[in-house]
Amino acid sequence: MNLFTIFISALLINNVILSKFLGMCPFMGVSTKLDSAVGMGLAVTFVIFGASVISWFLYYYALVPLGLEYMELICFILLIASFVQFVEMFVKKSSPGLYKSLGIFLPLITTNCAVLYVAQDNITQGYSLIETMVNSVAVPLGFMLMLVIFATIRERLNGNDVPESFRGNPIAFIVAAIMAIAFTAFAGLV
Amino acid sequence: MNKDSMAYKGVLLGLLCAFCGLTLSGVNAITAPKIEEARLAKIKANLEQFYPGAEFSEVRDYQDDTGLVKGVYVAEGKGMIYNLKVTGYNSSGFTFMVAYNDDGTVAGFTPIEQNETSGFGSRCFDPEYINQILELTADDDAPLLSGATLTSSAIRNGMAAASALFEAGK
Amino acid sequence: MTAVENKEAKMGFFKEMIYNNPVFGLYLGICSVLAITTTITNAIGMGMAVIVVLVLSNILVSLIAPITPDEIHIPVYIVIIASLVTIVGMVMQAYMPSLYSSLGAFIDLIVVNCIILGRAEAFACNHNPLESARDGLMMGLSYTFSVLAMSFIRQVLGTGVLSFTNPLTSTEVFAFRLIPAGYEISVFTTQTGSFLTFAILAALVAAYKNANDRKVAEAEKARKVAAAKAAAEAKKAAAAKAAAAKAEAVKAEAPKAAPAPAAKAEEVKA
Repeated sequence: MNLFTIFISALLINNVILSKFLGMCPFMGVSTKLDSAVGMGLAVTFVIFGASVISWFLYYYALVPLGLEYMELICFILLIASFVQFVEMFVKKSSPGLYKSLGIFLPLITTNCAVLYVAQDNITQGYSLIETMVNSVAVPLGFMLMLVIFATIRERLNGNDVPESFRGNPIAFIVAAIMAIAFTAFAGLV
Repeated sequence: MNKDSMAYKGVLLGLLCAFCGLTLSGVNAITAPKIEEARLAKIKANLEQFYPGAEFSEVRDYQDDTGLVKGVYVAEGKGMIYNLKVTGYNSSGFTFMVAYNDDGTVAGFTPIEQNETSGFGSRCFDPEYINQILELTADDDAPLLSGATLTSSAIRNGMAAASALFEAGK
Repeated sequence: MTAVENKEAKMGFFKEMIYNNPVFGLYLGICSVLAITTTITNAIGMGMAVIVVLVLSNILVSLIAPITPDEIHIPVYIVIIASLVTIVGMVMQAYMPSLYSSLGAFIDLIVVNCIILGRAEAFACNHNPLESARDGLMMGLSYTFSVLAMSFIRQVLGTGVLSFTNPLTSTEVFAFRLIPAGYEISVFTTQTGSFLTFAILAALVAAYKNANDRKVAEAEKARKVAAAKAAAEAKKAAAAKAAAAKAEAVKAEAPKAAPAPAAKAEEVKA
């Protein structure tokens, strides 16, 4: 499949948040402020790209030759957990400010459904290495795009008169519903 | 062995992984044959729709650049059947099978799994549209259906990929 | 337990389900909730899978936690949960293929469902296997009820038909058309409808919680006011008692004092 098609469809058409519902847990927590949204988006992009490429190699060069395809889930999730641990150590040493602002959400990237999904999707779709790399960059960029859009909307929503039971997350889901309608306009783009 | 030593941690993790691996391989040995059996039965049931009672065999190596062709099957002496996965309106896509007789005419068209918009895209799977496809040959393009543009374009692309393989195989 | 206590315990159970609902209250595991709640069959199937994984993982984690050093506890729990999920997935693919294909990738994603790892870390590692199993069952049932509620709304409003398919035999057990054909609101079968239904259910739970909190706060306030009132009254009563006692003492002294001037008057007279 054309690399451009993969990129656009992962970024806009099959947007990981609005279309596939992945990565919602940290999404609701981090999309309240703009700067933490950008930081989180970049961290997730790095993690997904690194973890997916490494797991691609792990699958095709270790699991398949040994006939251990059923160990895929365990190996992938352990790989993701170790990779996030490594990234956490690296961020702590190199930029403590970013580490502090991300707080608990950095180790929680392990449980971000999107990371495991992308790693497994690359295998299910049978992508080559280049296609895997493009997909693994496009999906988290879509995630970051949504985070930034939502952060700007939610920052303005805070000052408005939201009904009491909708305050916080429920109104964010209403916003997501409207954005989902908006993004269906991209269907058939490629 | 002290609980905090590296050796203890290594041994614990190693034993745990080994135990889980063994359990999984056991469960896999039990379930994998059943899964494969179900998969083949499902495919065979679909193939029988086109050429009941024929001998089917799967073609493993085929050159498909579009990525839409998911399976190629030969019905001995009758024709070729292609399993295609395309994306129409619904982002998760839909699968359908199309069969070409040896003389190039379309032998059959059937959706396998689809979730297109009811009343719009789903009209591509109604007899009215399918009859139009059954009139075609391997050289023709599937017609587009207004109000079901994305779905019928996807069907057109899928059938183009299938007929390309059909022509190449001839 | 008396009848009243039984009723309170039952109401407590439902109240607990809504109050500490992991899905609509704590927003855990929402990825799967949003994605699979298109039909009731999916909801029940996923709920069962989550219950099995949650109960078994809680038991296993509570067994292995005492011998696990702190630094590697996350990988250990992850390996346990991932193995359980793989087994459940394989069994489902072999014996319930239609359910497996509708749930798709979300079976494997149970391993990153925040509820499971969250309960393992928060509860199972500190309690014995029996209590952990019970906790897993409660949380799993909570999750199943939540997804069932959401799928019910989405399926009935979105397709108009309330149906359930037996996953083992792929045959339809029942199908009732509740909304006439052509009048269903098909947006509920799309992503938008999923977000909308979730938002409304979350708002309902929040409203319930707020109303409950308000009731509890008012009851507390009333109790405090009553207590203060009672204290004030007790004080008043005590003061009145003290005054009465004092008046008695004065009265007792008065005859003594009165005879004194009377005696003096008599002396003067005499």
